[in-house]
Amino acid sequence: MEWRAEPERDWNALVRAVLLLALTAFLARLIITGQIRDYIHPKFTWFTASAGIGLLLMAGGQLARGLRGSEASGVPLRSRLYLAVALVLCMGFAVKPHTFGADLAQKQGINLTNRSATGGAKAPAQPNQAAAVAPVQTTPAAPAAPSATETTPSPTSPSAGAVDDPAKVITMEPPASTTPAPAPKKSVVLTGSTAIVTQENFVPWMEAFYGKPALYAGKRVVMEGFTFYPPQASDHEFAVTRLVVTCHVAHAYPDGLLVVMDGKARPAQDTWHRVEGRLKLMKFQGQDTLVIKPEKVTSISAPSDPYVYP
Amino acid sequence: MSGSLTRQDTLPGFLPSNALEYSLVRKKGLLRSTSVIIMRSVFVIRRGGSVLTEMLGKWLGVLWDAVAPSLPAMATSFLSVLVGALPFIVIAAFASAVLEVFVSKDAIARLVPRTGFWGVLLAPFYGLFIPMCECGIVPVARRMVQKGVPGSTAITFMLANPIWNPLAIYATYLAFPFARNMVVWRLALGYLVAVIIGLIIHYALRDRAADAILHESLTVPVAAAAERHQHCDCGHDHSQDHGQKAGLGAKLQACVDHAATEFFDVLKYFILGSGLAAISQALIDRQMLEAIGGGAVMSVLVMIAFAFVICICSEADAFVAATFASTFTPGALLAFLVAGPMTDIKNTMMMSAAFRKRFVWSLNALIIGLTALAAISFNLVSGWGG
Repeated sequence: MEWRAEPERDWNALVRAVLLLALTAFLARLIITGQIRDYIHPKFTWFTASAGIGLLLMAGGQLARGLRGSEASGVPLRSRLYLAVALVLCMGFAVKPHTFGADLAQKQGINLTNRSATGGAKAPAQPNQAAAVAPVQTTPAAPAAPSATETTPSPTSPSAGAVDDPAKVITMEPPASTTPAPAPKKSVVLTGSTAIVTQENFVPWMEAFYGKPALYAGKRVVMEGFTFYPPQASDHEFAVTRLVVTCHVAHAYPDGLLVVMDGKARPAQDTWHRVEGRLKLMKFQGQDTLVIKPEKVTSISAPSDPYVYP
Repeated sequence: MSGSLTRQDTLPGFLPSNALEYSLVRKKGLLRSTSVIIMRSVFVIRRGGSVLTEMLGKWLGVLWDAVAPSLPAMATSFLSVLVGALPFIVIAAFASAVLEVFVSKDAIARLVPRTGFWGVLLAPFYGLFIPMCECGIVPVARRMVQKGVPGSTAITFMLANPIWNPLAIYATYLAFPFARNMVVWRLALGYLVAVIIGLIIHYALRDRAADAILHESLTVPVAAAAERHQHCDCGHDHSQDHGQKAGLGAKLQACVDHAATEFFDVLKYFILGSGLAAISQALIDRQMLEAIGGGAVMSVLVMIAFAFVICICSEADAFVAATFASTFTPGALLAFLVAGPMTDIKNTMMMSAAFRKRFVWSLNALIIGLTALAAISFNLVSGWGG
């Protein structure tokens, strides 16, 4: 009778299979719960799903190899590596994703100055420039023909945020002009003279505002975002800001418009507000900058998805 | 008598009556002073130790105070980079495995220019057709060298790919609407630095490149390594080129096994590098950077250091660079956009697994030195010398 030795299991492969399955479960959970938006741009969801399939394939291969045994069965366990991966997985399952706001804006910095071909980076760096914003004498360019329907300024909310406390509404002077605001090249909501900036059209509007600021001076704008105090801003200025996610949330960059409060105290940093007001060209950091002179600043609750995606 | 010596015996000016007494007194004095020295030393060491412990505790406390409030943000930052990079790492692992199992050395030799010189000049353009991020490019480059691609070509490809790929080019275009020529400058400088480094490797190492750059564990003779299973624990016989005799099923199994091995090899260094990057990102103060980063030279050096520490991928770095446009010189922005995708903490960790440590540090020095030189020259030539 021939005696055949039981094949030795490849424990490295078995541990890897478990870790790969756990990684796949982690990715699946992010996709199913929609939590993936807390980490990356949702357009990469299919890419992450493909990675999950790849990980499953690897897990299957490793499981088969581990049970069957292989030429590497005797190799010692790479315990430190597996422990590190297991710790990361525990963190992934246990940690509630942090919602970035002014903290990340502070780290990444915000560019609030004119970004047209003749402004912005062309000017020499002047880090210690005076912070105060001074009005600039400009002649707004003739507005382009409106591509959307011309109606009276709409009081509708630009996105999902609801007013928290009516007492926190700061009212400035009422709107005066009804001249229509020219629409940027991409699809944006244009209601009469008011540019309504939403999560969907945020990036095209910012490109339009900073690309040709003179064209939009004098127009009304309604915009929501978190408040951020740029380092160069005075006590009456803040930026109504959104974080733009291009790939990872950790590398999102802040964008928005400077709001000049005309002597009134600015709202607390990192709180969500709806700002309605008129766009005006003013000097900021020595450059002509499009800012909002607010008519109404309303405290709202943070939206369920605080980021915008180009 | 000797036992009755008093404390006065050792007082200055006292002379014992005979030599024995003198000797005893001297010995006792020596003993006493030695014990005093030892006691004092112990005291000083203990005191010093406690002072050091106290200082260390204080520093750790300060560090903890700085880090603790940022922990949720750091964890999210780390996980977001991991979730975003995982697909690229998986693709890279499979690409490397396919190269290993399905593509023979002969096929590689037919595809890639035989002379390192032309290979180096053309390598950056491969990125336009094989776009990969810096997280995935290292194992692919390593596998290329193992498959017989000249080391100079593979390294040039590795350095230029994160810059010379369509996604990074488009991101740079979007991030700099006020300076579209930044796209061209980034590509040009990226090409220049990668090609110069490739040529240096080509002329300095010639045929020795593979042995000189590949990690020690990867350069043992293949057959011997297969016997010992030291270079790879994929579980397959490496004594012959993978799958040249095997059927498709066996080849696919080998491919999946190789991908898993490659994946874990890369993941180890990726976790370490991303963790360090998340901590650094939380601790870096942007205003401090801006305060020290003035002038044609200093701004470039600060931005290279910043890029090395924060490890932003080449699809997102342009947006961060754009926010520095009003405070840093254009050369500094360019340096950030060129050096960052080529090397950072995370990449250095990953390269350390594939290449010799000495080579990795030399490569880092070359990347930083050449980028700094080019960016400073750019500043000076374009009138930003102030």
